Amino acid sequence: MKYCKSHFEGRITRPIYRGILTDKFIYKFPSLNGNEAIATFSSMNEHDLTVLSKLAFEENIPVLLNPSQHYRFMGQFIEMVEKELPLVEIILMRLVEAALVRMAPAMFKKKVFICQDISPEIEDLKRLRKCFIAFQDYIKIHSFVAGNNTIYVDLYSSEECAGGFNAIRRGIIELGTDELVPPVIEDISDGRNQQHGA
Amino acid sequence: MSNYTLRALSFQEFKSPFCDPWLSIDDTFSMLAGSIGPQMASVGASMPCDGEMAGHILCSTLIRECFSFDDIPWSVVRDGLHDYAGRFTPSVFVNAYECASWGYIMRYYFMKNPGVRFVMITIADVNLYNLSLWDEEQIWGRSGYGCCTFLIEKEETTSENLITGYSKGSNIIMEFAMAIRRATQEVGDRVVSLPFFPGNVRGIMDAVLKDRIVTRNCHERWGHTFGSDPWISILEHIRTQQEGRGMMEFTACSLALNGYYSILDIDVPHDAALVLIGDTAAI
Repeated sequence: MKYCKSHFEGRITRPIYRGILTDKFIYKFPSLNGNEAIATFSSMNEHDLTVLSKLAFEENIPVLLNPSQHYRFMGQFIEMVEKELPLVEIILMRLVEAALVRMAPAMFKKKVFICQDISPEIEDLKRLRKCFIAFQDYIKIHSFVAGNNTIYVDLYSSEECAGGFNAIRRGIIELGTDELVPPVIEDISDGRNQQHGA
Repeated sequence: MSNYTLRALSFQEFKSPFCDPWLSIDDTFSMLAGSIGPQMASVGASMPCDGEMAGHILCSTLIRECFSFDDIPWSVVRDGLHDYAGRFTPSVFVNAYECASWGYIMRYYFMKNPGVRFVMITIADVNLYNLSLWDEEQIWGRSGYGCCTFLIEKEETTSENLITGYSKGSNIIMEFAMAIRRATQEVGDRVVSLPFFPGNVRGIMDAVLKDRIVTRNCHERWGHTFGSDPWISILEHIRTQQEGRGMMEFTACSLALNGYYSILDIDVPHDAALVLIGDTAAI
């Protein structure tokens, strides 16, 4: 049976959401801006500050989403998948660190699973020939998180889903993402590796 | 009867700081692998020869900065664990659901692998960088550090005894307690295994669950040990009932600070392999 991978790759280059969201559940490590950052650093001892100062940060990458907005973005992605690709059984998402704000409601759906490095899980789902979508973002949500604001979306499916995948691709672009490479559909069944445009 | 059975459970307490706080992150994880890898292998040994495992997953509330700082890749951590855990090396790492991660992991792996009976989970909480902000918190009080590994068997039945949910409002303690109350309406003598919190916080839960049998709050002894709490609590409870122990029924409950929760009815047969390593010897 045919088994295909559809790939999208983009980068957020501007703030996606207007205004400032209120993070009701922030207690430590907020978005580290202005007074909040001062408050956070004030509560740290000398050891904490020394540890943090030794860690390297890429300061040239802009912070375009705060933790709440990041979860909102992930939630909107899930909603798009449910609408455009009802065949998808599993939505696999990358999250390196739980933010100290509550996740978007869609992120608790049964078909969603969130882990730190999703590549081993992708391999296992491919082995099981599952119809699934993998969402990996490297969005810098505050100064203390590594990231370059890129997003990778891969759909693995045995059925033709080009229409649905394109709708999701357009949706991500409309939210405020620049596409980095042309979309690709790749036949990965039986060791074959044929690429063609979406 | 629950459709989930605990086959093996092991917890070991970590001292704090876990190691020299100026050790490199690679060396810190090497030490951690030497501590928790053998525990994983030991719990995995309870798998029946003909059993199939849906997965072994490592989760944590506190192990987080190393990945968000990009200080070490998961693949290096996993390779280090493989030296000790062998075929029981965890495949992925989960932090998203914090203390409630174990329930969300079970939900996903049993959904992904219908018919597969076993899943293994390790909950490791260690203050890798020895940051003072993790040592104590307003709601959970003093932190405890340690590692819990358990092997669970699921029987395919029409009933489902795992609940994963999240608070809709800001009173997470009350919403959690009410969710447990709803889940334990018809469970007879099932013992509700709660997380360890300071008395004022735990008191809210105990009041809401006043007509249920709940485990003792061991916050003073263990601190709040994150997702491991209900599992330590099961071990503590069984230790006090050691004589003539038969099948025991528990409801294990964990709550994350963001309001996510996991509630699981779990049966512990008399031959489950149980280990609790702290100040006391194995039980």
